[in-house]
Amino acid sequence: MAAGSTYTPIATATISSGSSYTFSSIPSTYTDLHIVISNFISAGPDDMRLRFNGDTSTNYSALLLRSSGGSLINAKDNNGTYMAWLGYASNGAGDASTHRIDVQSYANTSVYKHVVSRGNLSSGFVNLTTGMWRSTAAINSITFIPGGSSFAAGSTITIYGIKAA
Amino acid sequence: MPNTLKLISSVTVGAGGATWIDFDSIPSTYTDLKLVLSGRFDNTNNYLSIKVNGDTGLYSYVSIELTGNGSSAGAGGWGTAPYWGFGNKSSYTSNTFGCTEIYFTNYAGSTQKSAAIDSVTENNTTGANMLISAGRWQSTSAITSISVRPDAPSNWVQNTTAYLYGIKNS
Repeated sequence: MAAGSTYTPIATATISSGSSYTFSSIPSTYTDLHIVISNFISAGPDDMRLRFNGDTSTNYSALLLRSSGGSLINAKDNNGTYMAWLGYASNGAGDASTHRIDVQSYANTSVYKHVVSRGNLSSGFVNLTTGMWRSTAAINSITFIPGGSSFAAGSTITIYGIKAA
Repeated sequence: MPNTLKLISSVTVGAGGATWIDFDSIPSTYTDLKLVLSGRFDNTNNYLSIKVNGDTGLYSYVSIELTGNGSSAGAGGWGTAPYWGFGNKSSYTSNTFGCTEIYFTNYAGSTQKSAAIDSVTENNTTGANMLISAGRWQSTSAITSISVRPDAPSNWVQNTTAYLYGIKNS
């Protein structure tokens, strides 16, 4: 029996501009989502944010642990209209950010949606963030939002589906 | 059906140990690279060092890190040393190995090479380390080789393993 593929690219985008980017029609057939972002922004550094299913209500929270190289920061955001601090990006030439975001049980309609993010910007910040979207709806779209800025040329985002069986 | 996460090459350190673990002739056909390392040192140094495409320039590598050792957390970074993770020291509980993952995005592209580094050690007593780090190799060349070693004068001990995976986004 041939081995199945459990780590499958669902969608990928190369983005050169825009204040946000949305992936729609995410299928519900996987167990978890794994998102890889390499991006630049037009002005920064600033954080990467997201919304699920176009929800702009105050249904998001986040917990951040961050090093800026010289200082440690921990912070909490409650009742936000987006999930914040998933990583930082800059407009520095060649200084692409590298973020990896995991959304487990994204299609489970019995639970709120939990996110773990590792954000990396070697010129500025390294983040460990956990976030929650207080909705039991299956995630079918994700909107990525560079905080206070826009995507810049050379940005890529890929969403992978991971199937437990 | 796509085979997204594909093993490119693996190394298992044999009897006698090894100074460098080398991955050469890395194909350019993937999107990202993921190096997974289970490592133990034969000395008491902390960090492992990386070398990309044979580049030994100290200013070629930068990183910002967040560390913890069970009693304190630290924020720091490196601008003149390629320290990208830990391994279990020789003084740590015997037969234990640290775990490090180094993830390069767009490794074959034309921008500088950014990486996410996660690294932990474990020791059944006081003194162990964990680290998350944002690293960058400040070259626009496509990555064709990756080498890792414990910081001198340490070497890898037998049964240290390293796996290099290619990840394709389509």
